[in-house]
Amino acid sequence: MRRGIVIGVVGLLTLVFVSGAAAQGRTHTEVLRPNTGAFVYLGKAHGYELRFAMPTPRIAVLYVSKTREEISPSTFAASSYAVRVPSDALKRGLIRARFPSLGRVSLRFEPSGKRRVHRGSSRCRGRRGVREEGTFRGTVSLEGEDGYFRAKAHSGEGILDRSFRRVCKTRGDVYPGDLVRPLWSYVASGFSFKFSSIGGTVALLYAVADEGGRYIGIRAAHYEGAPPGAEIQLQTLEWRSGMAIGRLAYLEGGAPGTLTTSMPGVHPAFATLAPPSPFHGEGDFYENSATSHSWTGTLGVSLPGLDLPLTGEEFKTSLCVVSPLKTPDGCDFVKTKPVRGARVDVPPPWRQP
Amino acid sequence: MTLWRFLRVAGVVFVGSMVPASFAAAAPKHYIASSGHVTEVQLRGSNGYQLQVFADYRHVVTVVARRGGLMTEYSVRGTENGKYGVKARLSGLGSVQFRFVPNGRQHRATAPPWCEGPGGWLLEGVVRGRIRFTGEDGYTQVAVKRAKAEVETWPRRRCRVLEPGRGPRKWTASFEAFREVPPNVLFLVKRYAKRFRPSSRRVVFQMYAGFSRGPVHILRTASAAASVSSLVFLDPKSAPENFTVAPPPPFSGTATFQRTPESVFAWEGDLSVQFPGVAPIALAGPAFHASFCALRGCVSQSSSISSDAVITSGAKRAR
Repeated sequence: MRRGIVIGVVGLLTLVFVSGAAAQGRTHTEVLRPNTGAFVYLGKAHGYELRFAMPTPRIAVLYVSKTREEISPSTFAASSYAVRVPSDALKRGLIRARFPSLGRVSLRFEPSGKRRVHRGSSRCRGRRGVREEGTFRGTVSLEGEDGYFRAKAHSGEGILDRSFRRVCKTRGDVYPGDLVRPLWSYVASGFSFKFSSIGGTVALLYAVADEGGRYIGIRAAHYEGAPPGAEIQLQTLEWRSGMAIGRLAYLEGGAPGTLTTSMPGVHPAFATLAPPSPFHGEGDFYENSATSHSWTGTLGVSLPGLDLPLTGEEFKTSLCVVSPLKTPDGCDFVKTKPVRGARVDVPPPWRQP
Repeated sequence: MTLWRFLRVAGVVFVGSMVPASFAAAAPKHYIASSGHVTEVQLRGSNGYQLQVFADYRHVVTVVARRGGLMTEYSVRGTENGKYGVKARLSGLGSVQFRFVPNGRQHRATAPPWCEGPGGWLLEGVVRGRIRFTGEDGYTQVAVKRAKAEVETWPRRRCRVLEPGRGPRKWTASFEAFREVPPNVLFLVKRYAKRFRPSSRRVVFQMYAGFSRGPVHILRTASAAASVSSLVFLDPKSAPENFTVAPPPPFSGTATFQRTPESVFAWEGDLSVQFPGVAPIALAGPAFHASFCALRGCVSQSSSISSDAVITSGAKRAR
C-alpha cells in the first residue's frame, strides 16, 4: 500500500511538472498555477494492481498494471485510461469520474490528519503546497474489457495534494505551468516515442501501425555487449468514447532468441522477432527491396484488456543492423526511415474531440 | 639500469600508488614515490630457465622464471633480514633467506625519465644465506647459498603519471579478452601499422594470468609476435568485427571473435597457452569479456558467466 502511494505520488508530481513544453531561457520569473491533485490506491484485482490519479481536477487516470511477480522480474505490462472530468469537485475533496464502458469512481476524501507542507524554494514567493494523507470513501465500480479485472470498493488509501499560486525566479528550462495537455499524453508511456538516436544499439527493429483509431508501436533493440536477447518496448494508444487508452509492455532483456537478424550490410536483410510472454508467436521481417519490406508471422501480444496481432500489412517497419566498428553511434532512426513514411518521431494527432 | 629493473621500480611505484598513505598530495598527474630499495639476484635454473630473485623495501620477495616467451612470477611477503636481506617461504616452491654483503663498489643510478629528483645508487655485492626454488612439477630448480647481487636504492621522487601516448595510434586493430571469473586471465592482440613493425612481427600476442597458491601470488605471462597471417579477418568489408587468431608458440590452437545472428559477439575456440608444470590455460570461451577496436570504433561483449554464478557454484562444492 505504502509502495503504491509512493509510486502514485511520484507519478502525480511527474505529470504535474512535466506539463507543457520546455523552453530555454535566462533568469526570469515564472508563475506556478494553483492546482489540486489526488491519488488513490485501489488495491489488487485478478492479478492486476489498480491505481487512480487526478493530476488536475479535470483529468482522471486509471492505471491497471500487471504486477511484475505475475510475469517476470524484468517484464512490465500496463493499461491506462484517461478521461476528462466536467467539474472542479476535487478542490472540495470530491472525486467524480466516469470511464466509458469501464465504470465510475465516486469518492470523498477524509483526511487522516497527516499532512506535509511542500518543500519551498528560496527562489519562490507565495504559499507552499500541502499534501494530505487520508482515506477516500464512496464507491468504486470498475470492470476491464471482457472482465479482465473487476474492482468494487468503498474506500481506498490515498493523498490529496494542493498547491497554490507561487511566483518563482528560475534559470534555464521554463515550464509554463500550463496544465492543459492532450488527454493521450496521460496514458502514453513516453518511451515508445524515443525513436530518434538510441546510442549503443547494434540491432534494432521497429514496427508501427496507425489504423482504425489505434496506434501500435513496437521496438526491439539489442545493445552492443548485451547478452543474447533484446529489449522490447510496446505501446498502443487509442481513443474510445472520449477516453484515451494507452497500453504498454516492456521486456528488459528478453530471452535468448528474441531477436535474430541478418549481418550488417547483407541484402536482402531479414530479422525474426520472437519475444517471450506477454508476447506470443513470431514476426518475420524481410527486405524485398530498398523500398519494400514484408512483416509477416504470428506475433501478437496479450496486454491487460487487449489481445493484439503485431504483424500485417498495416505495419510500417524498419530494421537497422550496424557494425560498431563502422557506426560507433549505433542505430539511428534518422538514418533508417521506415518504409512507407510512417511518422514515428511524434505520436499521431489523436482524433480526439 | 636494465629495462626490467626500470619496470620493476615503476611497478613498485604503481603498486605503492594504490596505498594513499604512502603518498603525499602532489600536483595533478604527478605523484610522490617514497624512497626505497630492491635487491636483485640473477640465477641459472635447470632446464634452461633464467631466474631472478627480487626483494624490495617492503620485504616482498619475487622469483621470476623465464624461458622463451613464457615468464612466471612468484611473489610473497617475507620479513627483514639485515638491511637489504629478506626471509620468505614460497609455499611448497622453496624458500629465500639471505643477507646482502656489499663489496664496496657502487655506482650512480639515474632516475627513470618520468621522475624528477636525484638519482639513486647501485650497490654491488653478494647475498649469503639460502635460495631454494623448485617450479611446479620441477620444471626448473635452483639451490644456492651464495650469489652475486645488486641493490638499487632511490630517494623520494616526484614522478609523472604515465598515460597512453598522445601521438598517432600505432595499431590498426586491438583485441582484449579478460576472464572475469577466477583465475583471471587477460589475452591481448595488437596489429601494428606497417610503418611501426616489420611485417613478420606486426601482430603481437600477450597473455597475463593471475593465481594464488596460499600466500604466494603467481603471475604468468606469455608473449609472441607474428605476421598478419596470424590474425585473419573473415569478411573485412561486411563484417569487420569477425576474425580468427592463430598465434605462434608458446600459444596453441585458434580462436574466433564472431558476431552471431543475435548480435552477440562470441569469443570461442581452443586457443590456450601451456606453462610448464601446470594445466593449459584456456584463452577463449564464454567466461571472457572481450573487446575489439578497429576502423572507427570498438565493440565489446560481456561474459556470459557472471562471477556471482561461479562464487555460488564454488560455495555449493565447498558444502
